[in-house]
Amino acid sequence: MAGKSFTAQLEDFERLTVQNLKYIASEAIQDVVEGMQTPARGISKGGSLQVGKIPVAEAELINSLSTDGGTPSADSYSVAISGFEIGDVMTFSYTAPHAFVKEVGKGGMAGWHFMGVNARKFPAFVEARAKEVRR
Amino acid sequence: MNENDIAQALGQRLQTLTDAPAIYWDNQNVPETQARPYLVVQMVPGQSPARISGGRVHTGFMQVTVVSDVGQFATYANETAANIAALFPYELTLPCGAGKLTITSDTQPGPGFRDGSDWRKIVQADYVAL
Repeated sequence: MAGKSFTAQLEDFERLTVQNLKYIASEAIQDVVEGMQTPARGISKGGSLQVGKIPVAEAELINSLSTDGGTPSADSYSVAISGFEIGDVMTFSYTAPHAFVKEVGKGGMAGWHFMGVNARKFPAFVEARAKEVRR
Repeated sequence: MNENDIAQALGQRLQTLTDAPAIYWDNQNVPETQARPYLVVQMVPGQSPARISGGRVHTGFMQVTVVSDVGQFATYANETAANIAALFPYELTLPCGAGKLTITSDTQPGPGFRDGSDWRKIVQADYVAL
């Protein structure tokens, strides 16, 4: 929606039904989380840095995704998002102890930014999903 | 406009940091003998530019990590991170290649964490360049 005023954007959204808004929000959230959970072979397994993807060596990290504080698993988000309602707050967190250093990097290893890159795509995902319901 | 233009624009701004310690970029190894403190910069492109406005618009962020000795007060890392963040305020515009780059969020120091004998503190500056 680049180039449109905030008011114009609101007017666009007013034309959408609640059901459409729920679709846009839940799908865009899922797009973010699926981006975060897109695996790439970890460096210790012969892979190379792929910014925006999650490194997988022993799978501890990718399996440590907790949704709304629930039991961690790689697909913990899917059921929770399917029950999403407009106004709900959802939290996603990695419980593996090395999650943060994999995200931002540390001595000699650049960050993978699997959370930062995908979270920043949320506005673009919303826009893409909104286009779907306007067709 | 390409990633090199963006790195150059942001890098030149970073180098105006008063009393800047050594700065290492994505493609440089930090020598084991490097004294602390020093900075590590990682450029993180975001959405593929090909998908935005025919490839003319680049988004992403620059991450600067302040690396200092652990076991001392975190004052230096905190102050340096704050000074770096202050270099990239919201809506700052910089010349970038044939276009311009704009900072798109209120840059603030991020969390610090221990890495062996080092203390690391990060700053991330979001940009759009076109």
